[in-house]
Amino acid sequence: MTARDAIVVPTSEEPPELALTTPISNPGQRRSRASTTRAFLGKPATIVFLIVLAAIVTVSFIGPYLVGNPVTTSHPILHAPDLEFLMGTDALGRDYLARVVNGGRISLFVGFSVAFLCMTIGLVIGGLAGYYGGFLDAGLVKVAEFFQVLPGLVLALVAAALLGSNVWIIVAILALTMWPAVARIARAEAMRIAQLGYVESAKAAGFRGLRIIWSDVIPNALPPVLVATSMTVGRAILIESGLAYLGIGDANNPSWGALLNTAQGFMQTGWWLAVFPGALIFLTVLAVNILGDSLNDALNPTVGRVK
Amino acid sequence: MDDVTEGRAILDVRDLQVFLPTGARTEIEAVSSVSLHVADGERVGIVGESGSGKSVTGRAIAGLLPTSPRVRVNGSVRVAGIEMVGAGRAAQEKVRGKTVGMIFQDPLTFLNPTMKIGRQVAESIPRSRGGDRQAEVQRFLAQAGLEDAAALARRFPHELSGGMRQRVLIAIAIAKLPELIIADEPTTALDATVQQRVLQTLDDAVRTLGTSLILISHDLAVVAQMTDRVYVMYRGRVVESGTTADVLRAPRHPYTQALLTSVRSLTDDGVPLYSIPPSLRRSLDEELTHAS
Repeated sequence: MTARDAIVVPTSEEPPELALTTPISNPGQRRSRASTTRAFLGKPATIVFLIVLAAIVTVSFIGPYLVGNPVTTSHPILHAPDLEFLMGTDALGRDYLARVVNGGRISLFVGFSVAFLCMTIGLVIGGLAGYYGGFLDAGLVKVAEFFQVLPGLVLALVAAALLGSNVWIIVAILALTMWPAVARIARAEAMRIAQLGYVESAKAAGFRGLRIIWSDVIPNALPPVLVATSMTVGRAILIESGLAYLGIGDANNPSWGALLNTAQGFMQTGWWLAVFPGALIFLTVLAVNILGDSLNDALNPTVGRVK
Repeated sequence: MDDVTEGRAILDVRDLQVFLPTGARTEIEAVSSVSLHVADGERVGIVGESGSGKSVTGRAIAGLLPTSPRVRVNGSVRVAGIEMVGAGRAAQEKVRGKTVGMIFQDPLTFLNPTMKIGRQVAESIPRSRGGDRQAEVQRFLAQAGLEDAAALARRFPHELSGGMRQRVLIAIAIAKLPELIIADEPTTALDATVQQRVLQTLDDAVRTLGTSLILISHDLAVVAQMTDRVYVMYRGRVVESGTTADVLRAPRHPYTQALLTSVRSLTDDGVPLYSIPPSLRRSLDEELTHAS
């Protein structure tokens, strides 16, 4: 299916004008939901990675109830993967499958909650700055720049040292340093939308700025912001893994990165300890980024055509 | 230029002057000493070429000029007796929310693409009115000449044709039961047949509600059909005003005469296309410079 096929296929109940009024060159106009979905699912790679990500997420959140206890130590130690222990056991004789599944829960929780926080903060700050402009905009951009230049990794190390390495603190620190990327996109969109007719129309209807931001600016700014947010998921998982690898993480709930940290000492004797969490981090981040790209192409048809 | 009208004036504009920034340090006097008067239930046209200041005047009346300290508005705009120039934001929002309805030129960009039609109309109905909002929405959509209003209310703007969208804008404008509707080139983006039907709808809606209307247009035929009185604008000034019939039948000002001459008709085969000659522009500009 070419990009053009995916754009407009009017169905019988829609007026024929649809084909004429959904031009790819008109930024004020959207594709219908159905055709966006079709464009998103149009590529085989998207479907494959959607299934991969769905599988990882499902297993990580339901899995802990299916696999054994991740802290039971009554198994043989450093047992290579076989049919009984699909991912082997670690140096203390714990079922590694159970630990990897639980680690996924932590890693994904960090990734998605950081992304959610970034999107929320980004939409609020970016929406206000872009819509109102002027001094508010200048001030908020300075604040965003301040947080953007903070070295996230170092800040997280310091915060963990001072406050303890609870998973919530990690999430908070990551969101604090990563929201400006989303806010910038939201601000640019809000600036564009603030000039559009329907915002003027809303002003003409006597609505206040905050109301206009909520019902006109944010819904229309969402597509590019969602794309930016989807990229945040992957980055947050990677940074969390990096932190955990350095030993900053919740010791009671080891994430994939924390498992890698432990696996360091057993590279010669237990390759599976590093390979499984490593491969899962790789697959998850890859899937999230590819889906983000597809989402971008589906929502901004012009981008896909230029390539 | 005091037009004597009995009854309350819904709109009284005196010596309106609007400066818009054109560059870092330059500005243009987009509207200079314009005075307008609209009586209750009256229909008034503002005609003029592109850049004559007619749209800026319309926006200034609704308080919709860009909010920049460099946009300066002088004079007086009284909407239903409330002074808009220099009024606080809350007062302006109140007037915009209740008294004045706007209909804009481009029906595509003036509807929120992510919101269903029904909700966009419902948003325009003041909360204080109460009653069944869904029924109200459908009533206004029907009044704007849209069939099957119930199904339409659940659609998104991109599922509608241009003419339907313009009708939705009319529905939104009349939903607040305004005392004054300002229609800024409402049919310019539509083709000729759709234009006629939309004008008919606007005409009916204004008549049913007893609303006053300001119709801003460069199209003399539209203004002739829709309005009682007309103001002709050129270079930010009102150069002529009077009843629409008088002005169009016996224009006094050279610019109005030139504007009328440039109107084409289907029976004009072989008549050369008239455009306002540069010499007339020069003399008009000189006259305006002397006048101010």
